[in-house]
Amino acid sequence: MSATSTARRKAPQEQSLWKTLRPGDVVVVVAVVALAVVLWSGSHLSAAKVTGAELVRDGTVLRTFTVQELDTDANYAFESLGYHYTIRTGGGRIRFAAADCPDKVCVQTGWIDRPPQVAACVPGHLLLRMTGNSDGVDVNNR
Amino acid sequence: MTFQQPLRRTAAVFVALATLLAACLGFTGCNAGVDYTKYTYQFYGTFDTLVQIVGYARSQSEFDYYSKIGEQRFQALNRIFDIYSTYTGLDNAKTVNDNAGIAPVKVPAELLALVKQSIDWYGKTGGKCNIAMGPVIAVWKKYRDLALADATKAQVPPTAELQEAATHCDLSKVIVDDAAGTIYLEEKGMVLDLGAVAKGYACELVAQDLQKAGLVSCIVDGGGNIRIVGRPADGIRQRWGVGIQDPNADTSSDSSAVSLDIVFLHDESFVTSGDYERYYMVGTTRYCHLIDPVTLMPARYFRAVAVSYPDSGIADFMSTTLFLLPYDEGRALVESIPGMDAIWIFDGNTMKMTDNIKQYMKTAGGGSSSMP
Repeated sequence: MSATSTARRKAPQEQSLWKTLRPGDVVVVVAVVALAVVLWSGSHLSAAKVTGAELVRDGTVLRTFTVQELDTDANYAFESLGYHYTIRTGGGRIRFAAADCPDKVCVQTGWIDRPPQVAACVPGHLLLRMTGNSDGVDVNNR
Repeated sequence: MTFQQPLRRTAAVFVALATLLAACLGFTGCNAGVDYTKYTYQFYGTFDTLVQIVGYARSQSEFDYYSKIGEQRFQALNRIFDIYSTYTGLDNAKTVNDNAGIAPVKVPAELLALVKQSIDWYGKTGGKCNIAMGPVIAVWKKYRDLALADATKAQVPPTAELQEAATHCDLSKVIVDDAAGTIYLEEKGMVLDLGAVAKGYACELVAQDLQKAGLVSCIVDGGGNIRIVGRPADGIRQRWGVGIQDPNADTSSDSSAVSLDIVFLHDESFVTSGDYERYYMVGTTRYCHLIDPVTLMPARYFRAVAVSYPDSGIADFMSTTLFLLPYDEGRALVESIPGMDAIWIFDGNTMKMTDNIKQYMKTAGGGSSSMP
């Protein structure tokens, strides 16, 4: 019985609070909710998005490839630790197309087109890696 | 100081909503997302592969501290398991090989344990993954190197050369003396090759070290030997996402086919053996590095096999074993080992998998990173 009485006493107060809301209050509510959504989605709902690719040697970025460059059919020549490489782009992808390194694992890795994919050349200490958001994949098997 | 009624009401609503927002963030664990950032460190120089450490830390400097621990441990283990180089003051796998038929060698505890484990699991799994196959693997490597240097010289090793090498691959002649801490190859010409087991074993030890040091949310990826520690510390996800690579990436013209599926895991390892990175072609026939100890030829049942199991060392051993076993035999073997799962990728990219892992696969079973 006492709980019911409490509820009866509180109801009119809550109703009166909402009735006092003015247009300015609504603006504040919308602004706060919008801010919350933007902050949350910005930090946690990172949809897959390719921003480009990087050619890296021992942690140093030697060359950045833009999305436009990945979309364009082209070959790029690089040299690293005495080995010579042809890096190919096209169709939004990138790969080691040719190399004179001993094991050719870099070439045989083939195309990569989305983060966190990598193509690695151990003898030349070269690494091709896609950049951007990874759409829930932290690492790929190899 | 007093406020007029509308202003006070507005302030109250703002404070209430801000509190609600903060409470929601706290309830869903988003605080962790604010505190922890995902970092990646990639390095060369160990196990003839690229090693990646992916982990959540509170700052770049904190992550650098952990990744340096991981890199140094990888370097130490690489020296111990190395069969190509000797190091001053260290008796490693090469020392054992150099003393084949001569004398037992006292070795570091990690090498002793890996050899013991490999012999033990060889006996339990039908004898496919043999760490004493060094002479045969060396023959294949010689012909692969020749072909990769000059495709016009590509050829299959002569049967006689392979069979002669195979006469020095008897695992029962690898003698481990636990008490003395020694390994002895009884016969001249024997060669340990730890390529099928060392990376996974190293990943396991490094992961354990990092966990003890305080990095409790990370992935240690040693050339595809993936060892996962904990859950992602972003406050959102319960499981890490591991992409399954398309074995046809080399020749595929369909860019959307690169990832076959995603497996969502925590506190697990995921190790793959495949024919698509280390191989050479003779005409139109592919010859990969995974050699059947009976036929002395590369196995051709699958493009790749991935094994999921808590211990990365065992998963590495088993991924090679399963690659060398027909599907039915391999599946029966996996199902006899509690806690182990596997995915077989066939030519044409069809996949089969053990029942348990299917639920954790995005496409095959509707799995997601939010699964408990």
